[in-house]
Amino acid sequence: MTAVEPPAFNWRALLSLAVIAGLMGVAIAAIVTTTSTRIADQRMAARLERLTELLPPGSYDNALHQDILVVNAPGQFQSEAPVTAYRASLAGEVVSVIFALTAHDGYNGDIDLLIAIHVDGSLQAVRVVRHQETPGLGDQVELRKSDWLKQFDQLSVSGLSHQDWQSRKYGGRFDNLTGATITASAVLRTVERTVEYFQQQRDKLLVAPAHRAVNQS
Amino acid sequence: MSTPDTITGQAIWRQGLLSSNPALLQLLGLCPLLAISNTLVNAIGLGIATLLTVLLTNTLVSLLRPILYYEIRIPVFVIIIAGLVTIIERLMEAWLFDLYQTLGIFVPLIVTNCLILARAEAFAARQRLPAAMLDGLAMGCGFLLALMLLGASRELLGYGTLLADSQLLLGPDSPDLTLRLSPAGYQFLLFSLPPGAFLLLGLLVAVFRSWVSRRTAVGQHSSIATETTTESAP
Repeated sequence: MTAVEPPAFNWRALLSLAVIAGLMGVAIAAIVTTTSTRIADQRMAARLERLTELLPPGSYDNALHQDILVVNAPGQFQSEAPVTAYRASLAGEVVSVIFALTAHDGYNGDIDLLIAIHVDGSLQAVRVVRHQETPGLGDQVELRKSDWLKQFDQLSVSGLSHQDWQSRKYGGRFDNLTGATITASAVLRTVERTVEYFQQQRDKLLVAPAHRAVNQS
Repeated sequence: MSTPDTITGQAIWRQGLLSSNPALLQLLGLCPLLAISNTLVNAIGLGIATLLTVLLTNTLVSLLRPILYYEIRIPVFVIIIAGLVTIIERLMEAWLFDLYQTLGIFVPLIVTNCLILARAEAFAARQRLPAAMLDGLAMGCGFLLALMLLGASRELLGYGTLLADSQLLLGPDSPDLTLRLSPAGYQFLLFSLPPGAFLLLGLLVAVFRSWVSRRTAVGQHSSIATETTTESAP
């Protein structure tokens, strides 16, 4: 910097700072209010699109993102936080429940999953929504990168023991994810827990009114 | 603040792209640069968003010169940068939702890019509007160029492709522009991970510096960066 101005307190400077901060605040408030409905719509549409991917078209006739349950099951899932579940129904009968869950024990942090379970207890699909696994190894959990997740599609899980819910490498029944054992185990563990939870709380999940909390008995 | 110095458009472009290239010579904004340069498409996305932010910040700072006092200039710059980035993020989420889904996490990172603060302080606060805008454009392009160089070399060495996932930038209906320049299944993990980014950036900086200093061929300007740099990279 060149010459420094005299050190006397500059009230004008303070005023100009306040004016600039105020103007920027007004500009941000204006943008936030004008975009908020559009952003909410976009987020809703994106969420609906993701949920739609998990279920065969025509197998349900409700708006998936509107029949929401809040599942409180401390100890069942890795985090104590409530889990969101979406119900799909056909002619008023619930046909599937989609759980939005996070596996916190990925190789590199959280793996956000959507897990769809049919009323008969079988798995319909598992999808990864967000993850930060190692490129080239752990990121094979993405359907875009490999077919690993496809093994869960329309999978009957009745009679699977805890030992079965492992990758083949550890004597289980599921495909390995080459070079990403930790990633695969994290997904498998979360899917197993969800299937187990559904089996235990099935009746409650099916009859609970929408937008209500479901508590573990 | 101080009276505007006269500077030609050509000199502004030369500084932004070459002799004071923000990333490769001033080493500014390395945090987003290293984080987001794993593929060319990511690099282009963040580069354009950064370009827009520098351009708009320089414009606003230059416009506000009549009420900009020396004592409060840094808080004012920070307010302007943080506010603009917030506004850009909101507008992207509202109108370019698909692109936002991909770049969403990078956009707030732009606030941490001290290139923008450095240009506001060292240039825009002392220059008339046209020069300040041109400087924002030139510096933004220089940063974009560096990001693209690093992104392209990391993607090529790491995955053997160029422009993979181009749909993320151009929309799901655009043609797939991926160029595969290696046998299928090729992968060199090091370059996709942060250590590879550091190694390649180091090499790029060395090559670029020696090329620029040979090109300008001025002995006393061995460290060209010092003329405009006021802050160092985080």
